Amino acid sequence: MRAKTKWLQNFAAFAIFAAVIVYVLLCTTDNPRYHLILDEKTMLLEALWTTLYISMISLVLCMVSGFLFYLMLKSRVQFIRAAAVIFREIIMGTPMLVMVFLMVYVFGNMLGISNKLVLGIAAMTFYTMPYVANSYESAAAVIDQDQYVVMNLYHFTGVQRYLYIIFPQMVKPMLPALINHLSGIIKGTALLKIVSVPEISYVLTVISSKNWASVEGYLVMWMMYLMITIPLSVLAQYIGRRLENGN
Amino acid sequence: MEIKLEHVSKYYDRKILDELSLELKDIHALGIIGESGCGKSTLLRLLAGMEKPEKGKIWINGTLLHGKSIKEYQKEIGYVFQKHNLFPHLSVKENIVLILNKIKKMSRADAEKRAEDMLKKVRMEAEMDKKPDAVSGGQAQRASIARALATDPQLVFLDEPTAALDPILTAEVLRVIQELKDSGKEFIFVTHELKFLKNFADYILFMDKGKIVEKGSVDCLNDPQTELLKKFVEGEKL
Ligand SMILES: Nc1ncnc2c1ncn2[C@@H]1O[C@H](COP(=O)(O)OP(=O)(O)OP(=O)(O)O)[C@@H](O)[C@H]1O
Ligand SMILES: [Mg+2]
Repeated sequence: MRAKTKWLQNFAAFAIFAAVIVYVLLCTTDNPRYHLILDEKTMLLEALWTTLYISMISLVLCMVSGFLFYLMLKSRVQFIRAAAVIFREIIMGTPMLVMVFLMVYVFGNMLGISNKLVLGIAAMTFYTMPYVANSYESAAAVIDQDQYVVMNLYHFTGVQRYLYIIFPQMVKPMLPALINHLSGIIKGTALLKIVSVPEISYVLTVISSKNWASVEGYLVMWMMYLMITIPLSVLAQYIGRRLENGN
Repeated sequence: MEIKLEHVSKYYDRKILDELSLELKDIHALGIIGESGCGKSTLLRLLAGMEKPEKGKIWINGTLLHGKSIKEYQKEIGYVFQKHNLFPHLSVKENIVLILNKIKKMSRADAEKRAEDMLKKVRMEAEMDKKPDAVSGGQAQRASIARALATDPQLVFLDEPTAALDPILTAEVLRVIQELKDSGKEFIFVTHELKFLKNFADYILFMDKGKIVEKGSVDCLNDPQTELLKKFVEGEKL
């Protein structure tokens, strides 16, 4: 009985939001012209693919650079720690829009890089890296002092510490966190439209302005992002729960 | 073994060990007793080189525990922690195999064989593939004894190795330790088991509030010189 009402309540909550969304999609404009946008299937799929692979590459780069950054934050050398903290504060205080702009028009020019895709990925990576480093930090906190005492006693090398003890225990807290970061990156890539990277938001802007259907364009854009981010969030929660219950 | 302490003091937020000086020779099993919080575990950690005293010097078998010499010294010791300190993500057996195989560079097959043998000795063979969280406190404690002994150390530190064990298991673990002593290994240990202490130790340090109050052979338990030890012995007998 309990389980049944639980499902009913879940369904009711879902139905309300679904109804609101359908209402928004159908009633925001008179004569919505979604077909004009959805007709451009190949372009939309390509855009989806571009968004996904930019995001995946950025995430992988974030995992590597975020780890190095985490090591800097924990460095024994005060100067390196200070530099890392200052860098983190600067990046965390920078809006993503500004980060994209800086990367493309300032650093790109300075370094002579004009490939927008590369610069876009760089912007996403720099923007997300400190947050990933923070996740490493809180994930590493699950390893208690007693374990370091044992590692010291047996004189584990730095690599052995990470390889056999620290990384394996970090996976559990890191996996859901990384999926959430991926979700953040995916939403962030929407800003790459200002530098004409052909991802979802740019392509939809192009299609919808060509067809004089910009409201419909944004609504389709919204749906496309939700179609990626909601399953990711569900996945993160599922993995988190599975790992909580052992293995 | 030979132990020499010279004005050893240890501070955490306050003074924990207070100017300990000591010179012992030809000891095979040194027992440390005293009330909870008097600094027994802290002294044990210092003697094992795991922490440094803020003041004073420690020599074990002529080696000054300082700087690089600690690493060589620690290769020859085993340490059973008061809390078992097993790695939680590895099975009991893998906890031992990791140390032997990856750290001590024994072959995987030899390491597994040795881990199984050690776990058999402490009656843990049925539990060896479980994670430390999935076994009882006493079982984890026995596994950590197996880990400490797996590297075949010459000197073994035990911090209340039987605290989490019932009388039968206590007897078994103590039998294993006794066998090791008979085979020539040496021990520095903390315990609350007066019976074990009497049978096993050949020298006793009684501590109170960071100081060594009384020391001597086991006989001093039968004939305490200080009121404090007298009270302690009577208290433990109850
Ligand atoms: N890492 C630490 N930081 C701060 N204080 C500590 C630390 N370790 C121990 N102490 C304090 O030092 C004192 C001695 O601790 P220790 O563990 O050596 O006592 P013990 O004699 O082994 O007690 P027990 O019989 O309960 O194990 C205690 O008051 C304890 O609170
Ligand atoms: Mg203690």
